[in-house]
Amino acid sequence: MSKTKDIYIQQMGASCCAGLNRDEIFDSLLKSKSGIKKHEGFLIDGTLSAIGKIDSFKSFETLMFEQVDEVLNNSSLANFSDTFLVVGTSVGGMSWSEDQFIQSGGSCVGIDLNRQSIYSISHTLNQKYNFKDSITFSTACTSSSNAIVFAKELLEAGACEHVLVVGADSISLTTVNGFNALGVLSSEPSTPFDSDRTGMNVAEGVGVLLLGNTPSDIRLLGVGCSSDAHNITHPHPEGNGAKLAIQNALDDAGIEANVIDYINAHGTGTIANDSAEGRAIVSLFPHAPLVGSTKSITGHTLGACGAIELVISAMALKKGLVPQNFQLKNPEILELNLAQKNHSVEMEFALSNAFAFGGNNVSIVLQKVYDEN
Amino acid sequence: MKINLKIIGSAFVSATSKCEDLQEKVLVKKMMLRRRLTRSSRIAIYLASEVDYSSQKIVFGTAYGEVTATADIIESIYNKTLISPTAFQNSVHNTPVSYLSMISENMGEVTTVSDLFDTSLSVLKTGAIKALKGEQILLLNVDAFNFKFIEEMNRCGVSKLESGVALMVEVTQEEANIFIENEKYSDISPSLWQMLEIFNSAKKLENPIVEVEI
Repeated sequence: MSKTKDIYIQQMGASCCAGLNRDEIFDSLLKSKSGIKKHEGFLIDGTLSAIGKIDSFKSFETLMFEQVDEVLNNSSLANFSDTFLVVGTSVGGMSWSEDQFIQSGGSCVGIDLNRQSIYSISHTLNQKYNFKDSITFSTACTSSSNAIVFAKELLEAGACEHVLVVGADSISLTTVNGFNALGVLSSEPSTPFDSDRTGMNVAEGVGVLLLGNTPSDIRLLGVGCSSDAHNITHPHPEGNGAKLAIQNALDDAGIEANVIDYINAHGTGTIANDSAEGRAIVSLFPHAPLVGSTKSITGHTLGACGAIELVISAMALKKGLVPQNFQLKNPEILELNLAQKNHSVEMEFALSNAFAFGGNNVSIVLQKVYDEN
Repeated sequence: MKINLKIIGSAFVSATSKCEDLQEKVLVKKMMLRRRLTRSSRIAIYLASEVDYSSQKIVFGTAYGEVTATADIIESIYNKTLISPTAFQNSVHNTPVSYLSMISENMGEVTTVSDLFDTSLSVLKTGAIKALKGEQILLLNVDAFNFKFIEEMNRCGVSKLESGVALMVEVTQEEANIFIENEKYSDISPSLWQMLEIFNSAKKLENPIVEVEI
C-alpha cells in the first residue's frame, strides 16, 4: 500500500490484569470482568490492597516481550534499522531494585543501574531488537502518552520510517505504598466519575503501538500537551490544564470538538482527578459524546496507561463498541454522557486523555478510516 | 537527519556536595512551596532563570531522578514506617520541571526523558525534533544524587554530586560550528556530558550553533 504523510497505527498490543492480550482486555471491558483483586504483601501496614496485578506465572519482562514480539512479528518489517523505539515508563526497574534492597538487608551495593533505572526497559528491548535509536519518557502517569506525542513528531519530521512505542510499568511497593500515603487508594475496584468513588487501583501493564505512514484503519490524527501550573499532585479544580491539552489535540488534528464520538477519559477514580476532568469535558464538548474510564477493569497502569488506553480506544473505533463504565451507579456530573451499558455505535473520532503528577497533561485524537469502497 | 540548533542562552552549575546560592528566596517567593522543592528542582529553577526562561516548552533530562525521595520511600518500606506523602509526590522524574511550570505559570508543554548515560543526548534529540515547529525550547539536564546511599552507588567515581546544564535553543538554517565529539568529564555524571560539551563550546563562540544528529 502506498505511503502518505499521515500517521497510522500499523500494529498494536496490550497486556494487563484484565487480559494477557488486547482482545482479552477488550472482552473483559465488555463483560465487566475487572482484573482488580485484593492482594497481601504490598501495603506495609499489613492490610490488603486492591490492585491490578497480572495473573501469570511469567515475569513482567516476559509478558512485555510477548507483546513486543507479537507486534513486530505481525508487521512487515524485516529488521528494525529504521525503527525508533520510544518508551514511556514511570518506574522502570523499580520493583527489581526494591527486591535487591530488601533482600540485601537495606543495601544498594547489588543494584545494577541498567536494571534499576528508568532506562532499563529500553536497554532490555534494544539488546534483543537493535533498533535505530531509542528515547525513554518518564512523566509519571503521562509517560507513554508523551512517548506517543514524540513518536508522531519523529514521523512528521521524517526522522525514521517507523516508531515502536512501548508503555510499560510493573507493580512496585513504592507506588502502592506511595499512593496509599496520599490517601487515594481504593480498597475495591475503582468507580471513576461516581459520586461515591473511593479512589484508584495501582496496576501494571504493557501497551505497544507500531506507528508509521502506511495507511491502516486507525489514524493517529492529533496530539496535545499542557501543564496545569497549579499544584504538584492536585489538578486545577476547573480542569484548565486538561482543557488546554484537549484543545491542543483537537487543533493538531484539525477538527472541531463536536465531531468527537467517544472519550476514553483518564478517569482514575480519585475525587480530584475525575471532578477536574469531568468539568473540562463538559465545558469543551456540549454535544455530550460518550465518555468512559476503563480503569475500573484494568486498574491504573501509571506510565503505561496512555499506550494501553490508546489501544483500547483504537479497538473501540474498530469494533464500533464503547464499553460500559463498570459499577457506575451515581454519576457525579450529570452532564457527562457516561456509558452505563455497552454501546454499539458507528464512530469516526475518539479522544484519549492522560494526566499526571505535576499537572502534566496529554490528549490524543484517533480517527477510524473507513474504506471508501 | 541533522538539525542545527542556535544556542540563545546557556548556563551550568555543579558542586561537590551541594550547589550554593541558587537564589531560591528570589526565584520562589512562596515559602511553603520553596520548602518542598527537591535539590534537582532548585537547580532546574536556577538554571532556567540564568537563560531568561519565560514560558517556552521544556525538555528535561535526568538519569537518576529524585533519588533522595526514592531512597526515603524504600527505607520506609524496608523499616515498615510511615511514608511521607511529600516524598512520594516529589519522587517522579518530572518533579523539577513541574515545579518550574508552577513557578513560571507556564501552561505549555513540559516533558522529561531519562536514558542513563545517554540522557543528555536524548534531551538534545527530543528538543531538536520539538524545535522544528519554530519555537524556542528550554533544554535542561540535571542530576543531583548527594543522598545517603551515594557511596554504595557511585561506581563511576563522579566527584560533583550535583550538576546541571541549561541551553535555550531554536532551529536555524545557519551552518553549525559545534559538533558533538563525546568529550569526557570525569568529575561530572556521564548523563550530562554532551550538554556540558555544548555549554563549554558555546562560551567561546559569538554565534554558537550545534548540529544534532537523529
